[in-house]
Amino acid sequence: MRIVKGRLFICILWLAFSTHDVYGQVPVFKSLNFERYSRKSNVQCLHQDMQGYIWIGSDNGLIRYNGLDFAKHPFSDSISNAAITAMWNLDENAFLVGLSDGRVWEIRGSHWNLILQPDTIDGKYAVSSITGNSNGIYVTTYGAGVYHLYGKSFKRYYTGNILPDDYIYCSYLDSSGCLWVGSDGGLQCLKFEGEVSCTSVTTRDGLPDNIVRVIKPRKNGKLWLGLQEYGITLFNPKERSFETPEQLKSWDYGPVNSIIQLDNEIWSATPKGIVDFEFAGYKRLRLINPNNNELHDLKFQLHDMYDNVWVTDGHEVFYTPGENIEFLNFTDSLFSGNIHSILASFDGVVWFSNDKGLFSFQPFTGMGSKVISGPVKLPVKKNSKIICMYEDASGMLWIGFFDEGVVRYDPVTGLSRRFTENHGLVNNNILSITGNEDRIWFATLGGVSSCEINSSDPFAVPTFKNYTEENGLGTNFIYTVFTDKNGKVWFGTDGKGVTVYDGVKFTNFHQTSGLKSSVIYSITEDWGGNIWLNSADNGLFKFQADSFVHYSTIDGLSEPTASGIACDPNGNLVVLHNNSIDVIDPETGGVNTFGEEIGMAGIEPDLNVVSVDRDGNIWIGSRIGIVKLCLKKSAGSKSPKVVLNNALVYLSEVPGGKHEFNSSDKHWTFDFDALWYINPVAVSFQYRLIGYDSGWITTRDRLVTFPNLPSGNYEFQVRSSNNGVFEEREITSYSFIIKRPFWEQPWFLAGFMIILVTSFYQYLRLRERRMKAREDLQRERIIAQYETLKNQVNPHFLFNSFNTLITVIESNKELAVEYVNRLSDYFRTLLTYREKDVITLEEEFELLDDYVFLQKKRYGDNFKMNKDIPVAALTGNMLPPLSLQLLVENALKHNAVSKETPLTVDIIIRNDLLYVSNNVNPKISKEPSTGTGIMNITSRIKIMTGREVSVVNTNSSYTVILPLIPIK
Amino acid sequence: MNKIWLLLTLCITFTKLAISQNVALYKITAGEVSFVSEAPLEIISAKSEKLKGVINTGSNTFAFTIPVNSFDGFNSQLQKEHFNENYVESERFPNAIFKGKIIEFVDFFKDGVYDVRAKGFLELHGVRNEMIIPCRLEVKAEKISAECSFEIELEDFDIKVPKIVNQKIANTIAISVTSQLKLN
Repeated sequence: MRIVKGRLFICILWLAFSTHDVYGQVPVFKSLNFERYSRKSNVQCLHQDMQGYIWIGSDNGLIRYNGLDFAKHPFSDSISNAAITAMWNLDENAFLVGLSDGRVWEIRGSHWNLILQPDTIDGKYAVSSITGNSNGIYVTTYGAGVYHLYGKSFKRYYTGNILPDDYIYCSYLDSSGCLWVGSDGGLQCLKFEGEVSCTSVTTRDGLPDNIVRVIKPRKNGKLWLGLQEYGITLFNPKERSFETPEQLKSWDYGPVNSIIQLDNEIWSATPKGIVDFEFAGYKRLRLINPNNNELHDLKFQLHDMYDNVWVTDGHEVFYTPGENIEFLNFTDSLFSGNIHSILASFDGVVWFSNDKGLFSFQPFTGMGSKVISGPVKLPVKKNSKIICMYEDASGMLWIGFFDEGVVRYDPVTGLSRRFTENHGLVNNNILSITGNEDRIWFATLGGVSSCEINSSDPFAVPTFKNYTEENGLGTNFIYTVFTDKNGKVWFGTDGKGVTVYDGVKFTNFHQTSGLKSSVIYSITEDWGGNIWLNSADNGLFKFQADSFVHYSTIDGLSEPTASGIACDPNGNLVVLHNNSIDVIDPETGGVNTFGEEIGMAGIEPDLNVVSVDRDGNIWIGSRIGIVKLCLKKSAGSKSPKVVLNNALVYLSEVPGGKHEFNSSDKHWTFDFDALWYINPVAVSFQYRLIGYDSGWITTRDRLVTFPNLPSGNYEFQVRSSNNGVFEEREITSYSFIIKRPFWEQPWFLAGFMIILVTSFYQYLRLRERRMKAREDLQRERIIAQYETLKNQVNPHFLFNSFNTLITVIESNKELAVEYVNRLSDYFRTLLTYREKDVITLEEEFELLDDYVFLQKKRYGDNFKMNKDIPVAALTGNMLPPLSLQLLVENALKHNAVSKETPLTVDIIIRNDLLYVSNNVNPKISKEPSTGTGIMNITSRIKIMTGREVSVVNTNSSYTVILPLIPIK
Repeated sequence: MNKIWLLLTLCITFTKLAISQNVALYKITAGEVSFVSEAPLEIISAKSEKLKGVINTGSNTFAFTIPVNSFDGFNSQLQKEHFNENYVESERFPNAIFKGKIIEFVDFFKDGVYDVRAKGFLELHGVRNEMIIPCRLEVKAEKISAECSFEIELEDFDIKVPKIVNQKIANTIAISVTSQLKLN
């Protein structure tokens, strides 16, 4: 009876509880301020290329976003009138863009080329989607059907051939090669193998709506379809059946503009906001209006490769990180001020306490708003402060108060009972409660208490077992208590480090054990069984193999002080700070921070106000409301991806695939980026140029220049970090070679050496030859001089001359004087010229004239000499001295000169040859001839000109042909 | 007027030539379009019976047109002139045209009432806007009666109303269409 009364009372109490509307629990959305960048642009679509850049397609061009800045793509002017309506990745470095005029372009780096010029004649039809496989590219249009591009040609499928409707909204290419398209005439499957075929699924087959605007594949082969009027439905292609979840049957959110699929939810962009349907688990539905309800008419969503979601309403672009972060902002003043404790219970209810008492709510219920119940009536003094909560195995709550002991509370019946020092509790200030199967531990300001759970009578007074400093606890001020998997109980103390109780004895760890902090606020255990301690002011400590590993800001923590730590079922370790939340991957030590940029400024959580539910959601009570985190596996190890955009030589882009450069390419610039949308300003880089400098250089710049690189082999490496820790980060690199200049090339050096040696050798040979020639000439000249002298002082010549003179003296005195003058002239010039190698023809003829004059006096008219010499030739040519005189002398010497047989010597020049010829009347008594005279001339001319002297001897004439030596 | 018929017929037959083998044209025998502007200070309504149009039941397409200056029933003659000269500029853009297709399947051989959506381009004041308009078709013995009502935003059709009169002219105009069609 008493119990019934109690229950009735509780029921009345429940009814009396006020319920409080709170502002919707919404994911954090960050505005990119795109509207400010590009006034009046109509955003048509969003895209991520394979490098990770976000591209915004608008009616004002193509804009790239890297997390920090927008950059308009230098796209063709010819498209300026068309909007970009669809994009699709072709490969690592290229993507296709479809335009509102139906054209499709390929964008590769800064180059673009047209790959589809539509063939419609009745108008221009915008591209609605692009997809493709090894069979080609498929372009769907709003009004002109589907283009199939293969190689350089294309074919269009439309109502003129096989399609039931030309107005296509979307496409999806499944693994069997079927191209699903959503149109005004239902859903079609186009098969391109062999004969192109089209099968249609329409309202006749159970499709709720013939206008299919969105197709999104679900992992199990089924397709989510977004419809014009009837929301979303799930299509099973194998069975050609439809299934619409109950929650989606009454749809009044308008046409579905896009669908993205997250782990357990699908988000549909509609004119009323994002309709979030949790298709796995609870199958809950809610409406999300990003940007505090201001953003409604959502046009497009993008689920990127980092799990981030991008949303646009056509004007602004919003971003929400892939790690699901949601805030529960309270509008009721009842919930202002810090939350002191939080507990996510097994049945999915979240309990939290503040100065006003204890409250609870069911997450994810209703459309955008929550109903919070409370405050719960508890048997304590008014305004008693709840510090901690624990749910035991039987589903009862243990609520620890400051100064009021502990209350055991049954959430089902609402019954509760308080236990205090009077019941044997060691102290009434309870800071932390934990337990395992059958035992509860209480950490207080006066030691620890422990008791067994009495399941038969939940409200019977338990037998408390108390432990204090006297039992071996480090100190009686215990902030936290934690039971690990092995059953050991850990106590975080104020001033004496950490104490461990193994069921038998207490062991203390503090400074002497390597624990560099004496105040421990919280304790948790990671998947690997390592115990993590959260110190008051000096980061974390990991207890590993009997020693403590310090973990602090150097290792990537965003703040040195933390107010709580917890591990989630995915193995992530969460660290709560005043303005941020760190996520550590205990396996790699990687840290990720959710900071101010994502709305964590001033969260300032109280000690240990964190609780993890069985779905893996982490609930954090803070000064600004409740934060829910849902982290993916290894969330702490995520790091920014470095993109090495360009290598530039003298600021002009290096063509892709080029790695060898000329020696003159000395000025290098590298342009890199890190795509870290959650907090782009936190990114820093390290780079090095192997082959130039070996050490890593840390920078925040996204551009580095090497102005004067010498020849060599280089590798440029860059890596990035979001938390200042660079070890283990992925490196992106570019190798290149600056070739040595040609004069340093081996082939050039070898060739040069060969040429050098050869020419030196040639020079030596030439020199030798020339020296030899000079020697020969010298010798010849000496012989010639000797010969001439011998000839000229020939007694015959003198004797004959004197005889002639005698005859002349008698008859003609004047002639005699001239004769003697000529004779002396002859001898003087002879003496002058005999030393020389060559003399001019003029000088030679002077000498010859004297000689002939002398001889003519002797022979009279029987000896004649005819000259036919051009005047120019006289001064322009040279001969060894006395050559002509010697030849004339020879003629006189070997021929009979008489009245009957006169001797005529002809000297003529033809070209560069001098002909000396005489008629032949050999003497009967031959004069002895040495032949040295002619030989001497021959060899001297040979040495000087390299040409031969030739002699033409016929019976009637004797001709000597001398090559002349021209004056250079 | 014959010209318009020819135009409409050509429109429909040529754009959907592929399925023209089963052309079955229903032609409007009587049609009426009315609109209402409910502004805070004044309610304006007008209607015209000059609606012409065809439905091609073979291809599920249709084309309707109405001369804009044929609307009557304004609160004053001055208002009608204003409407024609300043707002819809009926001399420059004489006709309003709605041309498109019927999304839902309708069995025109079977009598009955069908709720359908007509999707197409509404051309008014020289501006073409894509619209989806819900309609109710009643098929009875080779006759169709069609009823549609929808709303348009003046802004969408580039019809500018001076601020000073926006208490008298609503930005959203409600339009309703009723028509009787007969198999040609």
